[in-house]
Amino acid sequence: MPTYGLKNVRPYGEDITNVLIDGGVIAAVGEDVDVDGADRVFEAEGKVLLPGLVDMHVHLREPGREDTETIATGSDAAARGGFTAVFTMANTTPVIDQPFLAEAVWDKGKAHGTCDVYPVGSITQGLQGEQLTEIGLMSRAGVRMFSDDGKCVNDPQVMRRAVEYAKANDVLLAQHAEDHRMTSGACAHEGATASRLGLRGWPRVAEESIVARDVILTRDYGGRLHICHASTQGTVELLRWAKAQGIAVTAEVTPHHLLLTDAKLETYDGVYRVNPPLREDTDAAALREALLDGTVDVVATDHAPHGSEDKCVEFDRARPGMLGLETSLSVIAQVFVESGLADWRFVAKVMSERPAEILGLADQGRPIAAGEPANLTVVDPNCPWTARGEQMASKASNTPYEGMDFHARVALTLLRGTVTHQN
Amino acid sequence: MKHLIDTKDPKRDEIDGIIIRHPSSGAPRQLAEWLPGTSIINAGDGHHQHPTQALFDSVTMRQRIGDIAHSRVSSDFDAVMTLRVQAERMDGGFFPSHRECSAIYGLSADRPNTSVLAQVTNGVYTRMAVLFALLAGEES
Repeated sequence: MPTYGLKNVRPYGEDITNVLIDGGVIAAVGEDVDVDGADRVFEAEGKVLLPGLVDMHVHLREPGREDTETIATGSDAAARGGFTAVFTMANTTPVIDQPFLAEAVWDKGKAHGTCDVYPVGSITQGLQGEQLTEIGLMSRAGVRMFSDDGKCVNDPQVMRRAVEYAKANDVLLAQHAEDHRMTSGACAHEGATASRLGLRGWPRVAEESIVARDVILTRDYGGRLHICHASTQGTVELLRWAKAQGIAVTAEVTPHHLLLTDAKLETYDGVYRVNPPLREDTDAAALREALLDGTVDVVATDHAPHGSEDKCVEFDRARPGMLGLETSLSVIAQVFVESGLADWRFVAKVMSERPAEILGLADQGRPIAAGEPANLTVVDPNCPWTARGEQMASKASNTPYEGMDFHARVALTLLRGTVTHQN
Repeated sequence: MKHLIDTKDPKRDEIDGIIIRHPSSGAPRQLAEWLPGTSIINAGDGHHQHPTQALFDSVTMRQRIGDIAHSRVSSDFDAVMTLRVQAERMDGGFFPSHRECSAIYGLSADRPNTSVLAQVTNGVYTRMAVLFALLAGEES
């Protein structure tokens, strides 16, 4: 395997140094490390070096909707976004609810090779919310996280059994918190905007009531609970309370819930329909604060490709979801680093170290130091660019950031020392 | 036609106007964006708006109580607008029963001081005016 040199990089945006990679592993880090003799040299010119990003929540649509994304195109989108590992949700056709299906997803990702693609197993068979899947057998096949994402495990007794069973198998349960009985036909955040636009509202309580129930189930029956795409101020308050009690709950927030609000809905453009819906300024502000203080642990994209036939339609007929992999780092840099709220150490924590820790990945989110696996991302903090769905590696182009200008961009992604993306 | 956006057909001659009543809120607004040269008349979109009805409601109110903005007299007037509760709302669990809704909130056209029938007549004239303004063209 050829050696690879990163010349004049700034790990975590701090002091300039050189990094030498050999055999997929960081061989040496230091100002005086000679990288000019490496087989390939990347002239970083002061760009920021981070551990490879980890996304706990994507939808790569394979099997079943390969017209909108595949494991290959989704892996390429991930590499372009600086990711070295992603977890793809189970709500495909067929649902990933058996060990051999999970293994097939992992194998396809490995064969393509631009990102580690971890399958998420479903909690219930066929996402029907009734009968538990073979969580034990799937965990022995390498599945680390289970979720019915796209749907909530609504039945409290089924969720209780899942919590108990997941605990016994030491796997993470990720809940899509949405009481479906309160969101039937809903397509927008229940508030002044939806009321004025005549859109049926998705109330905060539909999320918060499930979060409250599930943290209490976790308190009483143990295990590890993860809340997908936290979207409201009330969810933040519940998480803060739960963590103060010592309950083993973690949570993610998406870039779009940190940056966008329901003010985007004025034109009824289906690209802004997402689940949970874009909410209000007060929610976005609470989520930013929660990510800063650790109440919300990680950023996850909920990357959800859809074709134009499902997006260029009446708003209430549009399918929920938006692309996220190729814009996530740029959004987080804008909201936290360029604004002065946080530094690159924070970005490394919420986009790499914490998700790797929550999922028990031994080779991701590691320190930038000799002997560590070379899963790395180089970010150019001064690279003005404009988001265009048509230019993305994803098959679909439903980005909510179409035409928006960003300042930071991923310049280079390395997976075990191999270049998976270079801008 | 399967999709609303397919109304935008480059092979078709320019359409002067489309009257659209649609179960999805915002559908007329989307159509107006997709067909910039065409007059779109919203005849009711989902839970959103019914603009011609709003127009003749205000015409009726003005006939009945005068110019609210400038009249000293009508500032003492109370006007109440009500909507009938549609059957599907009754099924949505918003009211315990038809009987309770009718007994407590019901209004009928033969009640003194209602303008229901005048409003219906104004509806015809208002919609004629909307069609004339948007479709008759500059010369006429």
